[in-house]
Amino acid sequence: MSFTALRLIDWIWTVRGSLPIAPGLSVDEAAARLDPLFHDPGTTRQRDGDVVTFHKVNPLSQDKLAVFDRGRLQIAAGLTGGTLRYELVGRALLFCFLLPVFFLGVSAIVDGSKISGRVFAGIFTVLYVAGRWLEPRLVAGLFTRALAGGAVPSRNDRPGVAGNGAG
Amino acid sequence: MNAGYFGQGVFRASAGQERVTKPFFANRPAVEGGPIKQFIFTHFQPVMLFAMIAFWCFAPDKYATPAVAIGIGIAFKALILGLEWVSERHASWRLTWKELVTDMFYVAVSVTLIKFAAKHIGSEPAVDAIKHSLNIHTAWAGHWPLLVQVFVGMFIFDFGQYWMHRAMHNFHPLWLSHAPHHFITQLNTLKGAIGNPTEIFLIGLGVEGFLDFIPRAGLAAGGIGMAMGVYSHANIRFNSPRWWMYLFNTVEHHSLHHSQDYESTRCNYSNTFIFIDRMFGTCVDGESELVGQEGGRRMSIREQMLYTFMPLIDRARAWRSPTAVPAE
Repeated sequence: MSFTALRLIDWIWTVRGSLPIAPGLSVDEAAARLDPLFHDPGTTRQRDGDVVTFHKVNPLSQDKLAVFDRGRLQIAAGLTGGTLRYELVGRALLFCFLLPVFFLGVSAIVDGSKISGRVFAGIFTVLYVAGRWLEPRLVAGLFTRALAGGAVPSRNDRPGVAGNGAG
Repeated sequence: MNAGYFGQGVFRASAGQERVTKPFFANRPAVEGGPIKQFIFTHFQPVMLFAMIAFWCFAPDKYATPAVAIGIGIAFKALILGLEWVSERHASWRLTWKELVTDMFYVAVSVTLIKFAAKHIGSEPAVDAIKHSLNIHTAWAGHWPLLVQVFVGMFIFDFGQYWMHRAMHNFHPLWLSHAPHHFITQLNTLKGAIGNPTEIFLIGLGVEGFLDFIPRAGLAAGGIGMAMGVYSHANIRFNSPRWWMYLFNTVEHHSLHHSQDYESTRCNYSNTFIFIDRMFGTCVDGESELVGQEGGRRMSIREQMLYTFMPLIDRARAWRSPTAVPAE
């Protein structure tokens, strides 16, 4: 498949976006503010100048970027403001996109699954649309808060057994 | 095994590294909120149980059908999913989109492919074949009072499930089948469906089919058992009454069963009636927030599907490439 053709369909599993960076924030400062997002277990990150890349292997459920297996963030900063451009790839999005096809196949092949297979195909279609709409917004909010210097909740911050009085 | 008893229990402080025995019922956290919320989340489970019993006892025949039972199941799960946001148990168990997709995938596999397998090679056709070959007739069971039929059916199934589940934690080949379910890193409404398909198939085996109960008794038993399985995995803080926790499995019991250290998983095996665990000394009253295995790493769906067969896969790899060293 050619590069152009791939770009026509990779919106299925790829999230692209850009966010403004406050005036006066340097590339180093912006990268430092984003860095805590990539401290979760199973995550490796690398910075090369103004580009940050990350990879995740079996991220934890509460990892705020768990949907995405890898990503590339480019920071353009300046005295009059800059831009964060990002491209994130999530196999979970592709998996959910393909599930309706799988369960339509099940409904056609497996005896007794005609209705249930179609119902689940519908459910996964709704889930995909919801996820493809929701996850880009959540990640944009996450990056925005990080760049603003806000606290980024992490799995590592959670209590051991909160509130049960354990000794 | 730490045999628990009513009024005493174990708190898991962190991944089983520390064990502190305290009066569990005196110290367990309560639902946060006003009196109405407290009231609802204290009585929700018993009221729903009595509502289900009332429905299946008094509903006209045209409503006491499998289709209605499926509808009740869907509505109930949707309600419980919603309640996770009203009385959240742990923020670290909060449902995410990815978790919901994963959970729903396993529900869909259970309702389609595993149901198909059970219909053809499960306990139901096996029991029917045995009854037919031995000329066993048990229609008299259908003349028992409805509530007796429901309870006996549920008890027989749960008793079998208890021993199957206990065997899974004490016999390595069966643990290989069950282990993927223990790699979930949080509990949510639909998490009961997660696991290797071989385990979901095995845990569904039962011999209650030897008794010919009336269909509505079977639907009632299935619905109540489904509700208990949902409660025990839901990220909901209930103020469950003590009598309820003495009789029924709860998320407290089941979260402890999902503790990160393997030894602590060897308790609270029943799906519905925790008193079966009390009968056999395997009940521990307590709860845990940290759940999972191997330090709480999350297993991918691919690994959950393959994990059970890894010894065979490793053996095949070694046979094909004798110099290869199996991955740890």
